[in-house]
Amino acid sequence: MPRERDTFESLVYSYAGDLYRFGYGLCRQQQLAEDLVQETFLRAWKALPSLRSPAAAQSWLFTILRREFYRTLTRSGKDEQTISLDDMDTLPETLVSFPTEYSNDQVDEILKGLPLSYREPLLLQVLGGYTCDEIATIMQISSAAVMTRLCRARQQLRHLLDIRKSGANDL
Amino acid sequence: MNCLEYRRLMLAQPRSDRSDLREHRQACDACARFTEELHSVEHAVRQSVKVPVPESLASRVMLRHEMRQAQAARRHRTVWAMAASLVLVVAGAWFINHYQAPLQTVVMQHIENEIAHLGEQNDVSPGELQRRFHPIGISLGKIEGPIHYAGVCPIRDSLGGHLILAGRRGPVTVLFMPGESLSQRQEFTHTGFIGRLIPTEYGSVSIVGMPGEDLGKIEDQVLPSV
Repeated sequence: MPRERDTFESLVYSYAGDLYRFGYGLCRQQQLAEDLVQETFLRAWKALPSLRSPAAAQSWLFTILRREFYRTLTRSGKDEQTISLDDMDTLPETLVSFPTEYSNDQVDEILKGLPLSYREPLLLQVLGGYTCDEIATIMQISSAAVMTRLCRARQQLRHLLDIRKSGANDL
Repeated sequence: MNCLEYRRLMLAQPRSDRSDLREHRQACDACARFTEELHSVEHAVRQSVKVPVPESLASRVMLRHEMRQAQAARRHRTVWAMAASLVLVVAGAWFINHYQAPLQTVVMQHIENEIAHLGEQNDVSPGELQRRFHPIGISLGKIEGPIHYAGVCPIRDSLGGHLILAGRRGPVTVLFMPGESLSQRQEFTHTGFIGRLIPTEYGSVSIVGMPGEDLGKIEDQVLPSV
């Protein structure tokens, strides 16, 4: 048991921060994000024998947190923004370019507004450094679907930055 | 590779270093500019998602873990205690009449019995603290940081003061025990906590926190005030 405790403590101190950021990115509420982290480690302790290697720890913990987030969402009955399933997993047809004038606050505000189905793979890629295949395993969708959602996430980011820029210019 | 394909792939994986992507970028000025702008926005996205992490988050996770373990151990002990209750009642009566547990044991048992308070996040005002500790005749001066809990409770045979402060590594429990005599200071560790017992003019004070906590700093705040 002391060895398990040491392993567990090492996981907590290594990954609590990134887990919090992932949780916050999903739910955008500080207290809920902290609750998600607490719940994640509660479940991780119980399932610790199933962790095969230290190298898999981060994705294992991210997966647990993700599941806990969706459980919370289901329990609360909150309706996250949804997008049409018909066009979700198809690639965009047009070329895009990015605006060159924007602030970090604008980016943060826009990230909040991205649908969860776009925000989640973006967070996993940016925070976790996961490849599309790894994100596909965590989200239990195909790699192609992950690539499409990431592409759309950044397209929508660009589109919303453009709208804000146009709005600023109209002032 | 055409520009549409290039941009789709870059939008999905801005940090990709595939050779075919590099080649297209080198051959196409428009896509090279697109890539620069994409990386600039990507940098802003990376900064944006790295929100500040609440202080002592990892310590609070470990604390809650220790609390659950202590509660589980207590439940386990309760099952065995029930099975041997008759023997314990007889032996325990004799034991209590003839033996007094060490103060460290009393302190840790009290903390474990009231472990729920360690998770409280209230902010008790100085005035409220004064009011709550009035029955035990203790008046504290200014204390840095939030006071998450303050109450009077029975500790062994007397009423004592139970205070929980926000330490750097997690919550710190301070017990004021009038009437509990102690011959000398003691430092101790106990299942994931560190603590010290301090003799004072009116009794004893215990300070218990998470490993790595600066108990001396807490002592400097609470002792001169008593």
